[in-house]
Amino acid sequence: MTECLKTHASRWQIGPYHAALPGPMRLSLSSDGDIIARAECETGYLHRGLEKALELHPWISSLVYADHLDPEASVFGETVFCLAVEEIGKIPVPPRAQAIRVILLELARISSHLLAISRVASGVGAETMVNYVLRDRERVLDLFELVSGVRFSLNFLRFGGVAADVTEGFIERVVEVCETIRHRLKEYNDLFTFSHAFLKRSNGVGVLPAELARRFGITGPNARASGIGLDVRRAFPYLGYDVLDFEVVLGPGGEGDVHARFMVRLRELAQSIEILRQVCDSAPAGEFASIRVEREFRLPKGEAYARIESARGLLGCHVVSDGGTKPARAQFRTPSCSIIQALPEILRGASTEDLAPVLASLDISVAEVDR
Amino acid sequence: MDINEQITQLLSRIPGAMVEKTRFGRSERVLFWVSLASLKEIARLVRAEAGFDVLENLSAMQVDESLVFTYVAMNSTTHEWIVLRGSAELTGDGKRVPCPSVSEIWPMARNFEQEISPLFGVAFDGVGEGRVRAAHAGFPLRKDFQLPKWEAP
Repeated sequence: MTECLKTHASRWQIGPYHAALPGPMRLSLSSDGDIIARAECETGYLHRGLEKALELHPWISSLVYADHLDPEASVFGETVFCLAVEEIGKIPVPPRAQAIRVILLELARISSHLLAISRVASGVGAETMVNYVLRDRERVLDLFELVSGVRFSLNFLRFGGVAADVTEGFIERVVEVCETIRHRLKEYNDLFTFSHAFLKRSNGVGVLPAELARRFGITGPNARASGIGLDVRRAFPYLGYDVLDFEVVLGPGGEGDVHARFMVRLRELAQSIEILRQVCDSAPAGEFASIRVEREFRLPKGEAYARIESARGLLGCHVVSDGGTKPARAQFRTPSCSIIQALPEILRGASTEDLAPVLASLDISVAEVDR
Repeated sequence: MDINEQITQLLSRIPGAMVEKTRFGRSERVLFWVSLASLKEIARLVRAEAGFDVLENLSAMQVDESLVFTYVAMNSTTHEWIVLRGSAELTGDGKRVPCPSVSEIWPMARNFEQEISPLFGVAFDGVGEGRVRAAHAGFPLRKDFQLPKWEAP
């Protein structure tokens, strides 16, 4: 006579702070043994009242809050806010400033993707890869420090351009760093990408089907890994992306698993390097800003909705001006919000040991979810 | 057919749906002011017949004594996008303003509605309390919200 071990679903609360989580959030898991039967996600622990703060400060000061939307890739928040304001005020951006903005955006994309890659590697226990990737990310952060004085939250964009021209030698340093990272991509592939251990932990794990991605409006590398080819730089070009030659990277076979999301980010590094090479080769001389914005700057009455392709997906910004010295309303549409909404369905059926790599591969920014 | 004409024709099928057409900001893009009472029907029509299958953004703001909701819908195939707008009067007694939810038609809308609900005091039918943790009384993004005073320790 065999005995059956009676088991019940166990409940597991993770967070708000946990090493496996991308930021302060709470995951309530109901698991049957090792398999997650149900997941609930609670966010709001990093709510900073960003959109309210934007309404309380003059336009030039509110730009700093836009910069803090996602501290790990702050340039995107600044850029989308500037684009919306420039559309309302019909403020032109000189070609040199556009080139500098594209350089900063693509460097921010490289930095963000390298961080995401390091987190995936950490999630599967590949510490060597973590160190290699973060070593290369430091070089990008050094470039940010060279141009603006800070490694994160650059606060370098201004309405109508950028805060200052880049220092002499900066463009050459960008080209040098791009060349280094391009060589490192081969190193990452040799060391990690196709290693048996990583493939076993990532193939078929954390699958995000295309239908689910469409249902929740998921964009960016997560959607492209599932076969949805939307890239805002192609679909709604801005800052001269329409004349740049680059590929929209789709996941191999559209599987939408951890490995596909990893591969998309890795290949997007190569595309960003290619964009940077083109922009650095053709960066025109000229003004770095068309206007100087003072504290008492007033924007004409109006509104605009701007969108860009951030490292995590479609980042939108709806700005309304009532003709005063402060924004009447500024609202951000962030890509991580869509992923959070789909997270319970992605985790259902996954193993608890796969929680870390799945969350890492989704590259959620809790800061931009909570704002 | 021009997308604006197509939307105008669709809205004309629902009596009282379209309030007016204006410009969106200072651009040439058309903004369709619609009646919130017909919002669900409008959303169904716009999705099913014009192909706007993605609610890219839903934002709210207070204008005088009304809450204005701005819906940016996108066609994921053609990348065309339209702007719909509706408004609801504030009740003046601090209670939540009712607004129909479009999350049955656009599931991604739930995320926006859950955020707008606690911040502006909106009761979207079928949507819960919201996901912003209420560490405050009142609705912070309304213009009459009193910011808590900070006192030096």
